[in-house]
Amino acid sequence: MNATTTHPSNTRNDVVAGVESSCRLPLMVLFISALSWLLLATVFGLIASLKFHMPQFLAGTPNLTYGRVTALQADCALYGFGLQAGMAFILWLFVRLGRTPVASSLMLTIAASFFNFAITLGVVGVFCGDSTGFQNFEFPPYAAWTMWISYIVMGVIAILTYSNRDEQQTYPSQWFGLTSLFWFAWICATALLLLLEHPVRGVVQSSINWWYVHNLHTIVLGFTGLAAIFYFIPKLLGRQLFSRQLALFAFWTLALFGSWGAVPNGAPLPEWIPAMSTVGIVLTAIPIIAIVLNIWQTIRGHHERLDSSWPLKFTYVGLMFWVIASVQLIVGAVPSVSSLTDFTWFTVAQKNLWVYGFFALTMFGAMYYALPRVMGIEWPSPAMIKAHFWLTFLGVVLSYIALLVGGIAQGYLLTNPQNSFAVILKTTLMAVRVSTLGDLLLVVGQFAGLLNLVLLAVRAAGRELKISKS
Amino acid sequence: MSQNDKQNLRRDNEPSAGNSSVPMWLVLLVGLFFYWGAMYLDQNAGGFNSKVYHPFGNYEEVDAAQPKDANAQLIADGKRVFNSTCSLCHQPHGMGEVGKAPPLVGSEWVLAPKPDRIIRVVLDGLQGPINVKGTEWNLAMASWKGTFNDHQIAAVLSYIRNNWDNKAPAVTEEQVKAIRAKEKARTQPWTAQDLQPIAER
Repeated sequence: MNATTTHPSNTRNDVVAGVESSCRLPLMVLFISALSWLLLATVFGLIASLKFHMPQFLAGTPNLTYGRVTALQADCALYGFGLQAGMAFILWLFVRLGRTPVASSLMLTIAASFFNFAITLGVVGVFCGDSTGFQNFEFPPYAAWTMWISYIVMGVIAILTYSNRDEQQTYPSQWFGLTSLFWFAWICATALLLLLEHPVRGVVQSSINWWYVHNLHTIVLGFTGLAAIFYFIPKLLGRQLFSRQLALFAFWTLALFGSWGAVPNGAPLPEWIPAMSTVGIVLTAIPIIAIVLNIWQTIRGHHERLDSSWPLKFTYVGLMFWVIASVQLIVGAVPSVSSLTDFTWFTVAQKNLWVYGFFALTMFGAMYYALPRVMGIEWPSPAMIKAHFWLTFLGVVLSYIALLVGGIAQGYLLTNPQNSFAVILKTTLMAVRVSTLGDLLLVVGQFAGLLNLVLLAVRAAGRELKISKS
Repeated sequence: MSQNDKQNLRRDNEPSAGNSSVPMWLVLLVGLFFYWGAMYLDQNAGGFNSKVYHPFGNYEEVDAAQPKDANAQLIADGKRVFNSTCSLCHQPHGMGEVGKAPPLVGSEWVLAPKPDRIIRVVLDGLQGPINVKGTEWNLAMASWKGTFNDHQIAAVLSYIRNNWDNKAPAVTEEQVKAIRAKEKARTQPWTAQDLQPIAER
């Protein structure tokens, strides 16, 4: 006998469906805005990428100079998409696994609206040249504070939902999701206080900026994506997760070592800071091994079922991208490699793979699974799900490989002082052109994803109207 | 139906987690990584010294790269000699003490442009009345030529001539050596009167 007889996606528990309908409105608002910001982020990414081989493109508008466009690309992807999609997934997870309705659906929707107002404010601020100048933390103080406060309100509602849970036994995904909420509240408050309100002196600002960006990627986005991986892979295979202890072990080691790092080895700081950072990043090899082992043992013997549904495919490919991006981070932290790869396309490739490959794909998987169940409506177009998957996948892979190879070549050329800088930039042009093609696929893919989501929302609204009329 | 599948059903088909323990080899691997981490920090963290920046590996390298005062080492050696011996009578603050020794700070004997007199004082000692900064002293100082070599005497004199508020040219090992050779026959301590013919400039 095998587990296929209890394939979970076929059995729908009415009680669970009733509880889940409580998060219809906030989930819809969060996912639609998240995907809209992501589409905008990929458009900004495409413009930035084009500027590298077409310098005259949009050169007349100061608002669309390279510096502002790349900043906007990262901020829209990290905050507009990353935090909102993450919040939507974590909230739904707490509702489903806790078998409890969302603590305050209305408050959450209001807070989500404020959050989007804050992101809009930040984007307009950066667009008009009001950037703080800190990488991945460019939103001006008024926008950043509004964003932080509305995130706290959403987070408190999610935590209340978690503590109201009916099912006392927790599942690893809940630990990862809960930690991600607390972590962002903490690191963002730290960055707000030490970079914007009471700025620390000189180069210490950079070390705080590096710490913030690394924690935002590795822990905040990383733990959210891992929560989805730990939930959907066993769930959609109808399998039991191999080991709770191993998940706990990975959780603590990753929270401990994953939060030290990302101070470049050549940073103008006392040697022990980059040295500690390198050790922390290399030690994340342990949680990576633990997670891969755990998932591998869970899947074992059921590989053929991995492409049985789109949510599972999204999640599984997201996991593979997580492994690749994490290993690349480790390799790039070793001084003999970083002396070659720092300040090249190599690090950009890693960050893009992390955000658009690993994190975005796991969140898409969660969205494609959760929304039809919450709304009680099927996805309008399965073809658009397929297009969303393949365009995102190809876009990410194409852009990643191009920038990885281009970055390594750039690093080798830069080590020879005989090579002029302009010549080195010219040799990376081909890589940048290929990555632009990847960015274009990404834009089209995000458009397909958003369109499908909007159609779903329209259908849901139409049904609500029908019900209220009759 | 297996045990796992039954558990799955009970939780409304929500995934549950198994109870396999963390494999021993993974725990050992943690130890191995910690060992590597400690070795790495030992070699690359610059001893956790906040003054060590890239590309220097440790504080010694940083220190070696700093421009040095030629006499800094001599004065540092002199400080050790002074603290272990001279400071017992002349005091660590160099102001001397009634009944023990006259002051060194601002002393015209110490600060003389040519150190020929004080080199002799340290080598063979001094006794009888002597005027220092307008005050008459009458005490005895021991001979140190058997205890300290030329370098140590040059060092301690350079130290007292450049410590506190004193500022005078350092004494070289060669100067001490020459005077030691010249006064080789002397067996008695110097007196202020004996020193008068020795030029101070």
